[in-house]
Amino acid sequence: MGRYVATRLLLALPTLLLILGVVFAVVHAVPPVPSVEIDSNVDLRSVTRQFRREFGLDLPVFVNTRPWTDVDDVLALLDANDEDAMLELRRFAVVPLLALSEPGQERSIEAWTWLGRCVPEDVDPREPETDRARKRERNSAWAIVTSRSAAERVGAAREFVAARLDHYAPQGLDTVRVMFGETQFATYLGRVLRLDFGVSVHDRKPVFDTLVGRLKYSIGISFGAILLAYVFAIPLGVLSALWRGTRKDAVLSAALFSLYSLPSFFVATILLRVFTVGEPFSWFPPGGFHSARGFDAMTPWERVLDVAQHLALPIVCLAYPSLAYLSRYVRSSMLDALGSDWVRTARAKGLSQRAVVVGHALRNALLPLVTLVGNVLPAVFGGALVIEVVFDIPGVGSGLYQAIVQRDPNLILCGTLLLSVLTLAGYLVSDVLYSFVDPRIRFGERSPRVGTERVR
Amino acid sequence: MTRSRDPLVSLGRAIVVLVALALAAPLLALDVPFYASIPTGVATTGVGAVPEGVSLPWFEALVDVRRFASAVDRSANVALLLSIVFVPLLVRFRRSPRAIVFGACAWLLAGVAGAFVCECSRPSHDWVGKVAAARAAGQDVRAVFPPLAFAPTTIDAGHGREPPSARHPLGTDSIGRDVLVRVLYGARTSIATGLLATSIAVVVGVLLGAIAGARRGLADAVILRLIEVTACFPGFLLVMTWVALAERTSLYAVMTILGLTGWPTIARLVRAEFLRQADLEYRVAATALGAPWWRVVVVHLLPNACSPVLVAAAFSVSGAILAESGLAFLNLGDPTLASWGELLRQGRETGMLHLILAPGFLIFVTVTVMNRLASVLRDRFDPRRCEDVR
Amino acid sequence: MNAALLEVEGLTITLAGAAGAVVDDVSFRIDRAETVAVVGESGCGKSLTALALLRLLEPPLAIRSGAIRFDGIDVARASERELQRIRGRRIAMVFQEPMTALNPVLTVGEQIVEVLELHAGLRGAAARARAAELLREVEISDPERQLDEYPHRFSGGMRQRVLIAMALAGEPDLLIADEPTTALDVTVQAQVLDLLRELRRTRGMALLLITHDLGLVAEMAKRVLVMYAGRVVEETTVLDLFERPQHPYTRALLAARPALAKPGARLPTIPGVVPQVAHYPPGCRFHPRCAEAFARCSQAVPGFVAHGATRVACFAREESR
Repeated sequence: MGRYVATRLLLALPTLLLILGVVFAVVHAVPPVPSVEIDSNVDLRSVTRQFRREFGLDLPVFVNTRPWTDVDDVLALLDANDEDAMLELRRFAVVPLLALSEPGQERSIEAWTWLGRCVPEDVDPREPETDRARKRERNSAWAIVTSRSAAERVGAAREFVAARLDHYAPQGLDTVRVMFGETQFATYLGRVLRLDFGVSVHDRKPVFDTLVGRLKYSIGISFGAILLAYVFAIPLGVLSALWRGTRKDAVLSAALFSLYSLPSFFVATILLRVFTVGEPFSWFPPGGFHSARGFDAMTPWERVLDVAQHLALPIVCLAYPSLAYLSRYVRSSMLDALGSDWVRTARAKGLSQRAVVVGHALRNALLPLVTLVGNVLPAVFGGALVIEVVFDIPGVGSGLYQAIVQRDPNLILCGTLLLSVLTLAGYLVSDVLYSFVDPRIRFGERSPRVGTERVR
Repeated sequence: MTRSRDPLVSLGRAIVVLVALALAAPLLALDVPFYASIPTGVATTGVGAVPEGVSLPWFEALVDVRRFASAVDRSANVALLLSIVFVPLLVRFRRSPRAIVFGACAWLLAGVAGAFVCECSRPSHDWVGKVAAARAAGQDVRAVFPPLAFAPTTIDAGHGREPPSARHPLGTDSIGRDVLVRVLYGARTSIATGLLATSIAVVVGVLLGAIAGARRGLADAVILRLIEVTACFPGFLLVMTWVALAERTSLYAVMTILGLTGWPTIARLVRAEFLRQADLEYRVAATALGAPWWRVVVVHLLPNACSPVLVAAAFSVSGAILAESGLAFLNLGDPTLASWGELLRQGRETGMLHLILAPGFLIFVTVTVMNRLASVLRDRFDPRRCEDVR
Repeated sequence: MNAALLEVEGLTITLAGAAGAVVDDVSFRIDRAETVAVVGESGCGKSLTALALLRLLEPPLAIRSGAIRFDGIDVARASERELQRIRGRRIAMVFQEPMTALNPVLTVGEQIVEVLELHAGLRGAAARARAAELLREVEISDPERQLDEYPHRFSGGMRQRVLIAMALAGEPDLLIADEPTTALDVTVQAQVLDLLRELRRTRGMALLLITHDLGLVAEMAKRVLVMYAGRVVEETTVLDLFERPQHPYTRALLAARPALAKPGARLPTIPGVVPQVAHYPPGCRFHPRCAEAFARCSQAVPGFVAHGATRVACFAREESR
């Protein structure tokens, strides 16, 4: 059992990595830009440069080819006078720039100026001490080089670079390390492994804290919805199975099928229109998790009522698709059970109809329902995104929506990761639960969850 | 008794009606006349001037990038023109399912290709305004307009946010566009998304599923892992992110991403079907007769995998339609296309019932029809082979 | 003649939507402690007859007419409450498919204790002890431990024993065994049969054995009903069945036994196939396949004629008398 769970957790890692990689590629397909007031008097160029440095956007996304920078590449940048690109090349531009600075070269003056901008490094207090020490050592050595006379300085610079060649022109394995290590994705992964998900580009607050702060609202409505779905789905499904072939069953089945096909954002819109704006009813508040005003002054009981009143509509919207899905499932597995040989055996024993239905058929029919939590959970989380936006609930879903609209890469990545982890956890929990309820399942023999049944 | 009629027949009819409405949208609603006869010197000057003489401007307008900014619309328009050829063909060969499938695919491809081959850009003629003005002045203008003389983008100035009326049978939206017209054109967006996303999912799914099921070994292991990973992908989230970040939102990107995240169910079904058939005698016999593996796959295995794939595809169409409307509802749709979800969003913002009910009802009907089709098909086929699908 | 334990008269079972009766006008009796066998090909209605005795038929199948008198109670018209007192306590049943007849998610013990609580009034430890005793009685080793096992851990033969133990738990007066050995290996078959015979002898319980295996009939039963296409065609003693079969169908059935065939010769077969319910022929239902058939056979349903201890429904036998 422990071994099974461990294997599953291990297999989840590549899955998460791949999801992260694809979302990372999408998020960085268009580089994020700083949000600046259009008419403000800031130098957009320097703000952007600052911004790209701050969020590590000056590195290549997945593969770093900068160690292969040669004289021609640098010349092209000089021709284009592309300051940003040159400064992002940094140490990999040093060797070509040095070659161009040699006396007699056509653009040696220009190249030397650039060399002077590319070699000094900023010392970031967040870096490890060894890195900072090396940077300080290089900066001070370079200061000595630049203090030389014009005639001597290129030679000094040559010695300076030759002494630190592994830094400016990495060879062999170092190249590979730079190629895959000094990239945005690798840096990001490294931070994620230390559970540092970065900060939002908008409010500079850690995105993880933001999302975790929102999680309680999402979990509130999601679990409320799942609970509601199960509480209603089981009796509806059982009744519909017991009424099989009657008009009542036909009506119930048709209603559940329609419910299943009804888009939740449509239902949410109608409910909002009918029950919140006062035409004709004003029974529920139009959105939010609790009242904005006066909530703190309420007694605990009033608070519960207030939250319940706010959440009633979103929970209904989130619950009904799963309810429809689950009850259809209960009905069919109940019918399977009722038609089985062992139910006939139970009848032949003299058990009452009630004992047969509750003690035998229902018990068997409900087993697979446990595993469906794994299918319902992602559906509810996914549905919560739209519902939270519509009902203005400050949960993970609406946070993620805002992040997407505002192009906030760290927030999008962290949110996606959070939802994926929750989804995978849902699958795992349902598989483990199933093994507890169904004695036939042994771990490793087969995966009990059938495929990827999806609910909306 | 008519009650015991085959549900597939009525579902098929519903689908044909929906597709026909979507295709025929410009036939029912466009602000360009099919036929116009404009005397010299009338309405041919000023802003929105129309060309003089006898012309058939409607046909040209169908491929005009100024009137139909989206390639989806233009493809549907070309397909509408080609229906003169394809509808009689399909009716002629209606007894052969294979001919219908091939015919429909050819029709679709011809539409898409046609839209890219012939496109034009004409100055914007104000046919409706000029013709009305000329008629009011007692000029001898003749023009035959579609029943609703509005394009989906026409803004009827002074008629914004109107409830249903004689002029606008389903009212207007918040900036004065006709809701009925937009609902008609919105059907194209929905159906196109459903079709294309599903086609991609089916092609990728069948291909990978077939390779995994037929070749086993390493290929199977790799594809199986890929299936598991992709099945966990937050597809809708990915589409949202892409659409929000891309410079220009295009429906094709949405369709592609939905297709590329939707294939695992189909691959799994095909693979399972292949493994189920692995030991069946005819396959062994075919292999023993020296047939290469791909021939066994194409001739013997794939036809048997058809039914579960069909069920999954029907579900996938409704899923893609829901995703598209959901995106448009969240203001992440293609702004150059009319969409049911986008109308619904306006309904939420304005609280006007006609903006909520008309598109919502259509989404509901379309999704119900596709889901019902899938479940009827599933019940008809061996249900155990489709248990993987919902 | 003392009162029979079970008396079935004119039992007719219909399938909703189909014209002919699936089981048509079946009558027989079983005395206390007697073993009666019902033989016939699959689809002849013998299992349905057995289910009807406990009123376990599910729609679209239903009893249309006839009486089932068990110890003075008319089972065919009994209320659901009365039925619950009969099922398991007075009449118990062992089903054909041991692999599916046990509930997979309840332990074997739970399923036996259920019967004991219901019919023997035992509770808790007493019920458990009795359940273990029953398992021992059907020769399952280490019964205490097996009580807590789930059915999937048991082999087919073991499950059949569990089913028998469950049937015995209510100490019934009549045990209906529907093809109790069909799904089992030959060696296990013999063990289960021995067990049934032994239990019948020690408990004085009547046994209704449903089977298509004539060898089994010879071993177990005293009286035999031969069914064809939903009707009883012959009722006889085991001795007469093998020595003096009367009905052409019974003769054909006996002739088709592999054990009787000469080595190297083709097995005799009955020409044609068993008709489907919807296509039952008029008159005697066997006549299209019968070598002795004549005009009358296709026009009227033959009544029973007595030949010693045998009753046979055949016009040919009527003439020869």
